[in-house]
Amino acid sequence: MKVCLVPVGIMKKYMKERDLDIEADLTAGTLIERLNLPDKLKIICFLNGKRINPDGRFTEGDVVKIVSTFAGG
Amino acid sequence: MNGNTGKIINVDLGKGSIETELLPEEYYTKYIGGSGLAAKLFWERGNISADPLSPEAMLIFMNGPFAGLKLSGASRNSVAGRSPLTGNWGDSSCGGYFAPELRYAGYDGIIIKGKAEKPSMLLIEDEKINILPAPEYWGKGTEEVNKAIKNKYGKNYRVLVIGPAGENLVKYSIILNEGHHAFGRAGFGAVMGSKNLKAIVVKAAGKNMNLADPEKYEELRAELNPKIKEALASDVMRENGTAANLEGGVVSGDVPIRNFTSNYWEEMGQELNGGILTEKYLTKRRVCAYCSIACKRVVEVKEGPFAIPEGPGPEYETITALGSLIGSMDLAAVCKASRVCNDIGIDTISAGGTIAWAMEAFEKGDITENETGGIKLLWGDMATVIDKILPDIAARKGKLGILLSEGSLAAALKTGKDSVNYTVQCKGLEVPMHDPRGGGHGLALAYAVSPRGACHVASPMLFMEMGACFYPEIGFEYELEPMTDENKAETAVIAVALGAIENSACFCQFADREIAIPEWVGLFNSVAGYNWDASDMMKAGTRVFYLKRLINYLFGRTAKDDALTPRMLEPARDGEPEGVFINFEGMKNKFYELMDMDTVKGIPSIKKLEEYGMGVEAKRVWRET
Ligand code: SF4
Repeated sequence: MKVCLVPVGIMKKYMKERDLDIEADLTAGTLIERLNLPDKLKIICFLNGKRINPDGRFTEGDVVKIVSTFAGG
Repeated sequence: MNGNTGKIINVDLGKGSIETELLPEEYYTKYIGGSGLAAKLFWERGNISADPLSPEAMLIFMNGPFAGLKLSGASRNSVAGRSPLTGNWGDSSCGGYFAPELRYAGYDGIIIKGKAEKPSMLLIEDEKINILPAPEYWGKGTEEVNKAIKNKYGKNYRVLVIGPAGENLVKYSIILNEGHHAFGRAGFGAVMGSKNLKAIVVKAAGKNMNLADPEKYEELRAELNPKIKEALASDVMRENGTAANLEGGVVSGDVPIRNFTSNYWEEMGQELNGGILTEKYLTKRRVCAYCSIACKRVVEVKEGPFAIPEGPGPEYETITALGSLIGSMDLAAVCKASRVCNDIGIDTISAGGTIAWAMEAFEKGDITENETGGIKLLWGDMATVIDKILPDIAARKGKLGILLSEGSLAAALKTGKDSVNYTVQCKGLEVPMHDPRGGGHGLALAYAVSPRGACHVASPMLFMEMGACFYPEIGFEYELEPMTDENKAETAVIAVALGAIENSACFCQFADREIAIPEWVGLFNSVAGYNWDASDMMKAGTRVFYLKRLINYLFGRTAKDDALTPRMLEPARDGEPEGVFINFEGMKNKFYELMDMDTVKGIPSIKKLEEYGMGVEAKRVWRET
């Protein structure tokens, strides 16, 4: 199934918005691992404005925001 | 003495006297330097009953041991004493260029007492130290005075200056270095103003340093500088400043909006972030002395109602405090408001927090045009903020200017009508621009137990919660889930010690988060020759935290003051954290237990203090029992 990944904030430096074909049982944690981004970015997925836990799953057509926890003082 | 000079300058502006003094080495091994050593000196010499704006009040500037050592982020300075804004212990840290110059001139710090008869400045040129008349600078903005002093003495003279707000004793006035770097928090600009001291200027002839093990230090420096420079976080901040990920913070619910009434405003995140600042207004990047991160911004707004010439630009805290917090997503207006605050000399966080409270009070009808002198306080009305409110605060002019010049808590107490409930402050210090409801629940605890009041740099809790740093050698090797209370008290025990170490060593959190514990220990040992292991270092950090708690206790602060206002603890109304409850009391109780702090007095037990070599200090606070 297809989901759309939307990078937010500094994530735009590391990836582009794109559609991705994923398996129906893919978890958010595995999705993040697959993106192969630097560990230090500490990424969280958001769906409809809410965080998804690493074991959370997606449905067809989801728009997933990819956000880093990075914060400046 | 190695690393530190061991020497401070004692100035009495009332008597016109200047004396230098050598401090015992034990003061450094126990309290490190910076705000820790300042706390030790205040504890020993401060007049607890003195009003912070009276001549008896002590104003202390203190370096850390690494000032001037060409290490990224390690050349900051601390100012400390009793805060006029909160009436409690206060300290504030500043980057820029003052600390290394003071070190090269031969001093670790300056203690200032008394009040000069007329506007004055302090000029330090190595052993030559003079109090000079400075009537020509009084009443003028920081930019003009900074330039005038540099024109007169030379561009390499390092200048600390206050603006008209400090002269007028506005309670959250700043002290500004080189026109760009601020001792922002807790109002020490007003303390300088109360002493008729407009500026402190320092110039050293040479750069002599005395290190315990110069070779070992050079080895460490050669490793650490590239490590800090090349870190991912440094790269991000160099490119787009400290507001680089503001848009991400909005999605998490970390960025406060309209006096913390909202945690989500998507368009604002798209408009106020550091990438947009770079694209639209950035002209240069700047650094503090010897720092390779270069998170500082220089901006120019070429046209429009908020046009400003090239000059210092805002960082994350300012963008948020003078933007989303007061209902604006106009980045040009933020740049101008920030410039105005610098020039008049007020703290952007407390200014934003106080104005945001007033806007909500006006919306609710708790203050009306009667109390504002006819000024309408509307969310996002930046023209009124810039042209009227900020200048009136600095001048303590008009009903509104006078009301807001004391900070949000004092304004709310004067206003009544339960308006204290929607102030967002702890111990009278306005909360910085990370909302624990969306940023991480541990931050709520960190804000509450911080001795100076709500503070995001009193400890690295923010970075620890977001997973930016781990310290396995001292037991912090676990991942935290920001949105729960799990392990937050345990983490806070480590965080308050680390925070005290970094603020006493006067290190910038953006740089030192890349430093591992063995490297920290190596730095202290190679520079100052302490022969510490990790546990000695952590003990010094905890001791500094405890001492500041004891000072606050003498000011009458107890456990009940480690509190957040109802606004901060109510569940968020929207965004990611909507409806989530922070288990604040649970975290606080656990923290008290782990730190062996009395749940009424808010200070450590006699046994704990003795364990930290503070038996004498314990007697002073526990003598009645
Ligand atoms: S990271 Fe930024 S604020 Fe910190 S020392 Fe470097 S330039 Fe200054």
